[in-house]
Amino acid sequence: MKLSDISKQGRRLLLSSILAVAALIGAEQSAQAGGISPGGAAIVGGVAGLAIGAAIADSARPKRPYYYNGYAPAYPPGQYDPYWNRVYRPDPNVTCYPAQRLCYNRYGAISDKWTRRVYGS
Amino acid sequence: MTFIFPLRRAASTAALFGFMAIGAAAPALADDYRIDAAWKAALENTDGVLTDPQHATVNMIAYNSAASLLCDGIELDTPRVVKVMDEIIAAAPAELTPEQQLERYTDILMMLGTARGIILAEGALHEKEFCEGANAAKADADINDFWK
Repeated sequence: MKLSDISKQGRRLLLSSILAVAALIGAEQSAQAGGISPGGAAIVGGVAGLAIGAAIADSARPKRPYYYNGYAPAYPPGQYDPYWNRVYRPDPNVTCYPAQRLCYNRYGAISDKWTRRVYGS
Repeated sequence: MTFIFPLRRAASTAALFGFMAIGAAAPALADDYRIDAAWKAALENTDGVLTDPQHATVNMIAYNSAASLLCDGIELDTPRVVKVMDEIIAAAPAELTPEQQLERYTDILMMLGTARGIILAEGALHEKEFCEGANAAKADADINDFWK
């Protein structure tokens, strides 16, 4: 499904439903910030499946028109694997994966500290 | 670390995703519970949607959220999550059409949800170590996490 296939009214519902999907984390706060009551968010949540379906259907697109400004791919077209397999060890007990923007400690658990330090979150 | 742990990881991962092998060839540590194939499949088409710090922040929110579900004594700081996610979503390139903004927004939510799910699965594979790490991070005053 493409967004262009959805009517204007449908898009409004879609936007509302996405706000409801945001409720996965912080339902009431998100809804209230968006001017929708918690009860309203629950109602529009009935069409949340439409938004999710559109996102999943679009997930195979090779390019998106909304890359952040200044984005330059770290790998040539079709060469994701070498990029994906890059590993960075800022410490003997820490393994960071640049493509994932995530670091793990030697026990295999995520390293909050190193992820923030290396990737600047 | 004994040899049984890599085997347990491989078996658990295969059970979760239907693969008989982990997949990625990254030379991860022997006792790494990272579900490589799932991360790769999830991320390959989203590169460039978020900057490195934004992406890492979404990962940290996903991790903190997963830990709050798996680990006793850890609770998510929901107002802070909402504030930071709002900032990331609002940081869209100015020239985007409303439709493109909506697509970007959906992608970001999907990235967050997917990361949260994979991290939850990874944490469940070695819950004790996962929660010990989360509690250590929570106790570290230098880590600006998303927990209460």
